[in-house]
Amino acid sequence: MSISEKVLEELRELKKSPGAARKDKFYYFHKALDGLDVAVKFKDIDRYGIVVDYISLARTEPILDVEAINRRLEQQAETVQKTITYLLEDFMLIEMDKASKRAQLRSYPPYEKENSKFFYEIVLEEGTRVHFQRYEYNKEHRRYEKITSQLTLEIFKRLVDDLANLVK
Amino acid sequence: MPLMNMENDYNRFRQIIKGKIKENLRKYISNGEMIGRKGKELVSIPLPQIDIPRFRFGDNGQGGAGQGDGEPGEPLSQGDGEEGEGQAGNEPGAHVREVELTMDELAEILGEELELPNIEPRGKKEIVSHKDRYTGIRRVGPESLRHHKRTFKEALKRQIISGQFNVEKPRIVPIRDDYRYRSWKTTTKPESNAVIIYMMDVSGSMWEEQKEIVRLETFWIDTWLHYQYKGLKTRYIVHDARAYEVDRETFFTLKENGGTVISTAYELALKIIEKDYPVDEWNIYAFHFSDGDNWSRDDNKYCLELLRDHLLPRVNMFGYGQVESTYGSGEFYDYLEEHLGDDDRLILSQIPDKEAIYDSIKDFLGKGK
Amino acid sequence: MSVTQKDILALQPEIEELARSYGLDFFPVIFELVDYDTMNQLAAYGGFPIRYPHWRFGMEYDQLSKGYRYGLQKIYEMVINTNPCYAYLMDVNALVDQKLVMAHVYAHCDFFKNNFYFSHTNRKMIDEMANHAIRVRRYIDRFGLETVENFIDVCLSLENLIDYHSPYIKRKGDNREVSDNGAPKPRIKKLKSKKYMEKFINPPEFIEAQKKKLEEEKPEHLSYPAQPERDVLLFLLEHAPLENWQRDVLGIIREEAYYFAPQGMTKIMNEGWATYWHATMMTRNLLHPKEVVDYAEHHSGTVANHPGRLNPYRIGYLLFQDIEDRWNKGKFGKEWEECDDWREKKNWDKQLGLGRQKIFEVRKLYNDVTFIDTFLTEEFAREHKLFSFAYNKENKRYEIESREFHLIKQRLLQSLTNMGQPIIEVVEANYKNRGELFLKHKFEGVELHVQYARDTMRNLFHLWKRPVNIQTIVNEKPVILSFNGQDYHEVEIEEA
Repeated sequence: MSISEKVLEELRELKKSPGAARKDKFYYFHKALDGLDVAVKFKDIDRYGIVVDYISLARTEPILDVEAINRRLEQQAETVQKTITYLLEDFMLIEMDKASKRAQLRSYPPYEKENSKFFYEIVLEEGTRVHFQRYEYNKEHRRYEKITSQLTLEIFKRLVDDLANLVK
Repeated sequence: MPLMNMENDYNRFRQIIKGKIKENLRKYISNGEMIGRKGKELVSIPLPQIDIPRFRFGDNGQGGAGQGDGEPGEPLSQGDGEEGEGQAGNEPGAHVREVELTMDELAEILGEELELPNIEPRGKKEIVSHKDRYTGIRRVGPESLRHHKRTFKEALKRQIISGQFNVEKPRIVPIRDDYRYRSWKTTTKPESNAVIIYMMDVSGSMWEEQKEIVRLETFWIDTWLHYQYKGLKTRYIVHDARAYEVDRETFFTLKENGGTVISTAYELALKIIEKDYPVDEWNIYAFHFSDGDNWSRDDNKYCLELLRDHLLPRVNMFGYGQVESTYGSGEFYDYLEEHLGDDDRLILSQIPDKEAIYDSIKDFLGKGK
Repeated sequence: MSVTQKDILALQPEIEELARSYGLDFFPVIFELVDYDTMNQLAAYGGFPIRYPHWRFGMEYDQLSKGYRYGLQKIYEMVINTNPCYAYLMDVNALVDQKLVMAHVYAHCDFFKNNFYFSHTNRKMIDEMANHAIRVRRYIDRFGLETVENFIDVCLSLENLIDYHSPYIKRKGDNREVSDNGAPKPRIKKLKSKKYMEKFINPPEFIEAQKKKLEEEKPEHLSYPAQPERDVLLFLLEHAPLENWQRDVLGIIREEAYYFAPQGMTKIMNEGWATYWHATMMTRNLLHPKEVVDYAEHHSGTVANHPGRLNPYRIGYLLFQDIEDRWNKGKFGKEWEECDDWREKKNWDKQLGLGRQKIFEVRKLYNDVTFIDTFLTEEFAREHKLFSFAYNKENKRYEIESREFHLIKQRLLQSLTNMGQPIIEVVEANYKNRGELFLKHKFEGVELHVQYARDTMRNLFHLWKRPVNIQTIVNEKPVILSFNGQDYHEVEIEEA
């Protein structure tokens, strides 16, 4: 079973268990799977899709060499741009901070609707961590807000597998 | 050969074009390409409306005859410069006038149109003499500068006083003593020490469009401050997750990709001030431009400290201009407003697009600091 | 090594005598040496040191100082059409250049004096210009700078609405001309009387009766002018509701426009004539051997081929040379025209020696349009690689069109006719019976610049105070453009 399938199973289980949903109506999943630290915050899941907030994966074993980390970051960024193309908005590298060992990618161009801009963001850190989140920037309030993405299960699985492959 | 009136006619022409530039200033401010730099002291601005209109042929109508080599279909080589009126019609005409202005003249227009108060500088003042326009009147001068209205006025005065004036048959005949002439008026401008420190976020989210806004805005700030202070110094700092001092060229062309840690820039600015510009002798201006997406809340706090406790006490003013990146604008602006909004040494301004530059300049320079 | 006024005065007698010996005929010539900046100022003023005050001269000067003109940026001399004839020379030119320029000047002076189109110009224009300046200054003192300046702006906008082909300026109520027939208020014929007798000799009843008579005799539509009037400025002077000072100022602008008009109409000829003579005098008489190189440089600079553009000095010069050559050899007339054999034509030489005489005649009788029309031949066009150019709408640029002779000639003549200005006439001053002004653009293949036309109509309205209309072609369709004081209208019409 792929890691994504394992994750899905876990998420479904979580939903079923009583008192799992927090006061903010979100479910928080956090567990080690296949050698990776997995965290998912979601609102709902059913047979067809999932309303997910963020997806976070991390490899517990760190990389020590700074050069190696930065090289890996570059590779990861390139991989994201090349492979994660099924979300209807392609990714572009925005920042590559060698000092903080962090790379930030966002979908480009941001989707604009009425007074807001929407985009995905993937942050890679240390070569071993990846975080996925969607944002809305409201021009009136001048604020970035984290929002949920509605993904089909197919897409979700693909995304989780790809993210896992990045940091494995 | 008699003296020509060109000084008057020429000055009148300059006055008119400056008026036109003033009318269209907003457009020139948001549209930086229009202003061409000619060396250090001059700018050139295209003014299409200065022409006196007349019935003439359209630009793409008239043909003509030429001389030389070439096959049918080949384009005509453009001659140098433009033709005047009635040139025997052998040249297709273009009618955009390029006018030149000195930086000072441009600054004057900026100041008038935006109603910018003159700055009251602090510190050592040296008196510097400065030639102004025709604002004075004197009793001697060349005929070309004769002020006719004043001359007649003087003559009238004299005639009335001496009882020569006849209301029934008013006839004013000026004599030599009545003649009045326009003259230069010399004004003095104090020369004080002043420095601008420009800081710009060059992290990954600051793209060409954002940098262009910064470039335009700093051009206007420069123009104004140079006009207020002779011998103004400028320092440039760029930062992403680290800050560096650079030269002007690099400031606008550098392409970095890193994250954003604003405090690094403020630290460097402070270092420069402490090293080179003793506060009681210098008028210090600092400007920081960023899209406001600072790395962390902690860094926001640190920036606040740097500003409140170290930078603001030393500067005449600190201007923070937040531009909008493709994705939006960060929270740094709001953070500063919340914590330091009352401090009038700090001026905050939002610059979401080129059209907003006009108002932003007014924000920064309108307080006369 | 620059030259002084003394040097010029020393050279003058020799060159002047030489000029006369060749048959050049001119008013007394006064040379003045000036520096580059003064020359630019003079040029901006059209050669007259005293002009009415206006920013347009400042603008001209601005452009000239920046060298934005022509490609012939260095103005070598400035000669004005006056008696005595003033000629300004540049003090930076070396002596050999000054000789060339002075020779050039004498030919200009001869042209001004003898060319038919200048025969009615005011040779005392220097005084006239100064007088204009005084009048305008008085109005400025009285009514304020901006008021007068704005009015002059309006007048200048209409400056080209004169009759360029008229050999002399029409005076108001000139009975040589067909003057205003049918003025708005037909003049009542009063009987002659002394002022105190007026009421008796021409009592009100009598006036009334006369008025009635006129009403009956009046044609259906009171329309004027009787014929299309090309001197629009004159028409405005006589019929527009202007204040007296405005009438005076408009009159001044018109006078000056007419004064300069012949110069615009004979530029090619005049420059060609002057170049011909400086070349002749320099090469035959005035050059010392070591000056030859400097001269060649200067001369070639003046006569240089500017790629693609017609250098007026060059084309006029070459034409005069061609005419001289042809009339010397007899290459004219019926026999010549009918000859088909190009070899025979090439070797044609009747040894008539009429060349010099002919060119003197030409400089007297022709203007640029008739000059080109008469003397530009196919052989000449071929020999000098002339071509016609036109605007290519698709490629959005001017391109070489053809080397076909009749096209070249047509394009050239077209660009010269009416001094390159559109021909505009007043056709009707009581249009729609509502006192509207109606102008017609005599379309000859080239459309008007619509935006400029609109702005100009606004100025016309300013004078006429009632709606103004102009019939023209826009985008290949006949239209009437109108301005009623508030907005512009464009109406398509059927007839062309």
